[in-house]
Formats: sequence, C-alpha cells, structure tokens
Amino acid sequence: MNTKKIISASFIYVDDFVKAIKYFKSEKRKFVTYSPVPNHEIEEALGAKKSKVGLFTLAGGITGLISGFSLAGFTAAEWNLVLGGKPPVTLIPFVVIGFEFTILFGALATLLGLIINAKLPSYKKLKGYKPEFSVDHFGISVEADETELASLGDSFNTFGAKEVTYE
Amino acid sequence: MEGLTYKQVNDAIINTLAPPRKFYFAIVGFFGLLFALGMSVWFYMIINGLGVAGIRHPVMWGVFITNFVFWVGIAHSGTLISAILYLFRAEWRMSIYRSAEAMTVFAVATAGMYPLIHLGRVWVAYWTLPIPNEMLLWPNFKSPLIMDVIAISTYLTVSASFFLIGLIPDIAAVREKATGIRKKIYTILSFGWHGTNEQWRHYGRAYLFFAALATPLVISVHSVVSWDFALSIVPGWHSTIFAPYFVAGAIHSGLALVITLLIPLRKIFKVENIITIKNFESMAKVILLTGLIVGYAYAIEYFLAWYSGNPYELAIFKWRASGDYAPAFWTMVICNSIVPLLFFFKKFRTSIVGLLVVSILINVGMWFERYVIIVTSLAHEFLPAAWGNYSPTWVEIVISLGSWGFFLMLFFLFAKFLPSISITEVKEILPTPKRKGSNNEH
Repeated sequence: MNTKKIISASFIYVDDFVKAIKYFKSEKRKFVTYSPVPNHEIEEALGAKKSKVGLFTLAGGITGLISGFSLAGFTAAEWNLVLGGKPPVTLIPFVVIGFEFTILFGALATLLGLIINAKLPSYKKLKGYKPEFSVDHFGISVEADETELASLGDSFNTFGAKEVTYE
Repeated sequence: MEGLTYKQVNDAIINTLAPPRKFYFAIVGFFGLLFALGMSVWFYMIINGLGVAGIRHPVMWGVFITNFVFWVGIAHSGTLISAILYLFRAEWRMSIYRSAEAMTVFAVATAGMYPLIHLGRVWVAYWTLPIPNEMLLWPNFKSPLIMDVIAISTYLTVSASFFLIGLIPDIAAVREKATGIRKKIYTILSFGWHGTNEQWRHYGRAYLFFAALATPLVISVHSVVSWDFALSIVPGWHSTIFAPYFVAGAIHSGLALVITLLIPLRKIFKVENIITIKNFESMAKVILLTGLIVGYAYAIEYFLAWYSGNPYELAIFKWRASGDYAPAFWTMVICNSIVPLLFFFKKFRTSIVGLLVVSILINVGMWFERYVIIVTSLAHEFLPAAWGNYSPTWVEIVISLGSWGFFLMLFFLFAKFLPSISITEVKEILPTPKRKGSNNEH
C-alpha cells in the first residue's frame, strides 16, 4: 500500500511560484501555500473565494447597533426622569451609544471571525512548513503518494524551485 | 528603501529586538520610577482628598482633564495612520504605523487614568459602567460623560485588537529567528501563524474590516470628547464647531508626537533606510493641513462670538486673549497655527532638527489649547461674583509627569520586545521578487 507523503518546495521568485500554483491547480491537487507577505498575484492564481469574515463583522455590527439602542432605551425607560421637558427615551443622544456599540461589537466579531476561519491559534507543527516561509521564501506543499514524489519533484524543479524536500 | 530585499528588511527590523544595553534599562527604569512617583502622589491625594489639587470652585476641571483630553488626542494619530491611511492605500504609512499604533494604545491607557484620578473617590468608578448600581439605577446614557466612557473604552478595545492583529505575522517572523525562552514566548504570541494561503485570505479581509470600523471610530471618539464641553452651556464651550475642531487638533498633536518619538527611535535602531525622511515629510504635510484647520477654528471662534451677539461668549474670548491666561493662549496660537506654517517650506519638512523642534512645539501648544479651553471658560462663567482663577499644585504636576513616565516606559518596552516597524507591510512595498525585472537579489 502506498503511504502519503508531503513534498514541499520553496521559491524565491513570485512568478515561478505562481506558475507552480497554477499547474497544481490545473492538476486538481490539494496543496497549501506559504508566503511571507500577502500578494495579489498569488491570490489570483489560487482563485480562492472571498473570506466569510465580513459576515461576522456584519452580524456583530447589527447586534451592536440593536444592543446599544436597546440598552440606552431600556435604562431610560426604567427610570422615567423627565429632564428639560424632554421625553426620557430620546433617540438622538442614543445614536452615540448605538454607534459605539456597533463598532465595538463589529470589531470583536471580526476578531472572532478571523480566529474561527483562520483556525487560530493552532500550535501543531505544519508538515512542509519551513522557517524561511515567514522571511523571504514562498512555499508550496503537496500531499502525494510515495510513487509520485519523483515526478512531482521534477515538476517543482522545472518551475524554478530553490529547494525540494520530502517529509 | 530602494534596493532592499525581504531578508534585509526582516533582519534589520528583528535586529532592533537584540538584547538591550545597560543604558536602555536605565531609561526604562527612570520612566518606571517617574510613573511610580506619580502613582504614589495619586495615593497621597486619595488619602488626603482632592483638596490637595488646585481644582476648586469655580474651576473644577483642571490639569487632570486637560491631560485626559491631551492624551486622547495623542491617541488619534495611530489609528489615523493605521486605518484611514490604509484605506487610502498611502504607502508612506507602512514603516511608521506600528509605532504610531502602539503609541495610540498606550496613550488611550494613559488618558483613561485621568478621569479615575479626577474622580477622587476612584473606588466608585464602576458607577460609570453600563451596569445597575445597588439601587438598581443605571447610568444616564444621555450624559456626554457616560458617552465618553463608552467611546474611550470602545477605542481602547478596538485599537488594541487592531494593533495585535497587525502584529501576528510579524511575530511569526521574529519567532523563526528567536532562540530559547524568547522563541517559546514568540511562538505563543504568534498564535501559530504560518502564512498559509487560508490564513492570509481571512487575515486580509479581517484587517480591511478592522480598518473600515476604526476609521469612523477615530472621528467619533474625539467628537464625543468635544461634546463633554460643547453640550454644556458654558461660554467658550457651547459651540457646534467643537467636534471637527477637536478631531483636527487631535490628529495635529498625535502626528507631532509620532515625529518626536520616531526621530530618536530610527537613529537608535539604525533604521534610517526604512523610516525615511519621506515618511516625515508626508507627516509634516498632514500636520500643515491640520495646523491650518486648527488656526481656522481659533479664528472662527472669535467670529462666532462676535456675530452671535452673545455678550458672555464675546467676553470670554476677549478675556482669553488678554486676561490672566493670555500667555497660555498665545503659546497655543503660536505653537499650533503659526509655527507649523514653517512646513510650507520643504527645507523644514525634510530637516530632522526642524521636524523635531516643530513637533515638540506643537505638543506644547496642544496641551495649552486644552488648558485654555477648560480653565478659562470655567474661571469666567456668567456671574462675575463667581469668578476665580486656577493654578495647578505640585500634586497635579507630579501626577502629570508620572503619566509621561507611564507612557514612555510602555513605549520603550514595546520598542525592545515587539517589532516597532511592521515587517510584513514594509516587505509589501518592496518590489515583488521576480525572475524578470527584479531588484530583490538573493
């Protein structure tokens, strides 16, 4: 029986890296890329869908808006103190509370969205990751059968990989 | 920054975290002692009562509230640079935003101490929180002071989260170079960041939304602070221009302090090729704009006082310029709206000495602006029989110095333990390494 292995390659140049991504994408292979910086060319080559973090932001913002207005309105109604002949529940000053709660809840929900979607924190060692991927190299790691490793290694080299390793 | 490679930037910024020399500990120790001194005097004030400070009728807001508004103002530049300029895709923000953001977080924390100090009975500070008290009474959300508590705590939470999110990929880069216990700490702080495609996909979106949320927040926070004044009927405070006037002033002072702190920082860390004179020139241009807005606000306040035909309003403005606090008033005018005009000349915008001197003067001026607004209006309200003057006591002065100690101690600790320049974003503005047409040689 063939066992699965991780083959990873590091690249110095983005154009080489993008070519490799496109190739593995066309081959419909599962792979993970590593990059020290976000890059539009890499994003386009990966063609991934938009992140859903925005939905968290929206949900948080709406919850915040409702909570802010409700809290201010509820507390004003709890103690019906008429000041300057104005009704206790006055919307205009509550806009500030509603606004601040919208931002606060929106930001916290965005943070939560990032944590959930990007699966952070995760301290387990990623197979195929190398320290230079956080410095100046671009990396790609592919899961493959042992029999495929040689041909995959050749492909990486064709695209200009600086180093190919197997785990 | 031309000709630099990813690795050079990476190494240069991580080198700033090298084990510090004795001089560094001496500086941090000095600011720590100053902070401890300030805290001790605060304790002395808690035991003896607010009477040991100079605040008494009719000037019940003095240096403590001046400092509060000043520090909230300082906190505005960080989010302006990190969020607003991010949305505008201003590349010059990349190498300075991290320090400015750190400054924001520490400045809000410093500002947040002042209402507590000013309270006197600090143990009842929780009355301002949105929770009912023993009598089941809630805080009054129509009060600008409660709005301010909500705004400042939101600002602290959002700016601290934004700051931490920006740090994650950089800490991962630091982790890869660290050894021993430092490596363990940076590994935990990096949240297991590896820069995978999935991580970047969500990170980029989250960062964008954070910036989009932080942008209106910056504008709102100092507007809410200004309403602490403008929603009252005190002459000199009751003005509709207060919100934009305060926001412009906040950015004015905040950017000036960024310049003041970054000039020695880049020299000490030898990162002149990353934080360049162009960065300072861009900040000077924004300061020029905010200086003009602030100058316009000073002038229009006089026009409004005259044109409104309100004798109380006119009286307070005449008194500000010619009465007991005239030296403070003219310091404010000269430092905030005359001195920054020097930035019309490229020579001043690109001279380190010029930038340093102007930025320090602006901060002196901006502190006096808050002092003038607060003290003069309270000293001369409607009834001449109730007039009175104010001057700070040694207690207020030492507590104020203590807060500078707190702020600078935190800033120095930050500069040595976390990357004070964003590694990732500086790499982003370098030319992408390409086989063809790249200057990023390896």
